[in-house]
Amino acid sequence: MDQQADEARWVTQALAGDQSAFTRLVERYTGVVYNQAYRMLHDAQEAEDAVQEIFLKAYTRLDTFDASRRFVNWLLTISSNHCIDRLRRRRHTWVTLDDVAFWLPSSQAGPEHRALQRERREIVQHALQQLPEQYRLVMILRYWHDLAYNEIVEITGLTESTVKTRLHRGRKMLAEALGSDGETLWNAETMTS
Amino acid sequence: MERRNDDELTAIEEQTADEAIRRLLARYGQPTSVAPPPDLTARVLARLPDKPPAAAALAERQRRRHVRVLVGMLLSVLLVLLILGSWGVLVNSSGPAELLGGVTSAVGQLVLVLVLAAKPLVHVLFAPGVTLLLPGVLLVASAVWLWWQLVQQTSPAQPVEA
Repeated sequence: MDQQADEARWVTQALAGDQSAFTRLVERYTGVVYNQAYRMLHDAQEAEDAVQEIFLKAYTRLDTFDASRRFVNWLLTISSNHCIDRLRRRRHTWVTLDDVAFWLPSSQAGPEHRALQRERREIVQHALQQLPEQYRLVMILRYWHDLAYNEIVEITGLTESTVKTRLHRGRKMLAEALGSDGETLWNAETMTS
Repeated sequence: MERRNDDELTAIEEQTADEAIRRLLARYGQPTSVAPPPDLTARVLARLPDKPPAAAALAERQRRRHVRVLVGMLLSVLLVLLILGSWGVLVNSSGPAELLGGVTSAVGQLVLVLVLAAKPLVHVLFAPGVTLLLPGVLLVASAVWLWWQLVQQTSPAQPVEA
């Protein structure tokens, strides 16, 4: 509750023209916004651009912030809408160098176990990208940002029933995606142990 | 209670499914945080306007209005040129000038110049080979765009997960 009060005060100060107050908010939430953008967009460069644009939007719309809400939830609302817009503007799905590197066997020397840990995390990120953006969003908010259903409702503007439906479908799709990718990883783990 | 469809779970089923996916993610070391670049905060702050938020919002709305006006003016000019050019090609070159004060008046001469400048553009649009030209132009534009996308896709190192 103190954190919420602090942020409400910073917002008031920022609206009055105190940039250092907004700076505190940026410093506090850059990581959170970046994580969401990266999980949604699966591109580091694009996520960095998105973060800058999101905070710029937040700055110009600061007068619309409702102090009864958590600032991070309001920020994640802007971030969610921005990421969805960016995904819709993508006209083609390109094979990135990361996708190619994901498929190629590692030729690097080094501990196999560390490489497998990295690959394990990349498998989840890759699986997440197979979800439609609307399901991906609620999955990220629920399992990476650990938000409650009512908070996801607040951020997305959906009904609780719709959030639960999308989570249910998202879980199924993610489990299926991890099921097929995870089998490959299991075989690799067995061979290197 | 009877379910209306497969997507409606009871509270217990919801909790069970929630825990199951968390266990599955934990097998893969997730959820984890992705570390942003160390200079990202500084870049965000550098991009913020110097004005207070209200003034920045107003400036942004004005900028968008100016862009809309500019685009509108540009389209209007193109439309006027197209109309004058078409008139010059299909009817006569001096017709519009004569309607606006005659070919000897300043306005009339300006209009005459515009009609003569627009005529070649209209000739191109009505040329028999334009249907072949357009796909060619689109193909070249697509190739350039594709090349640019591939260059952009030489992405920097992906972020390190905690």
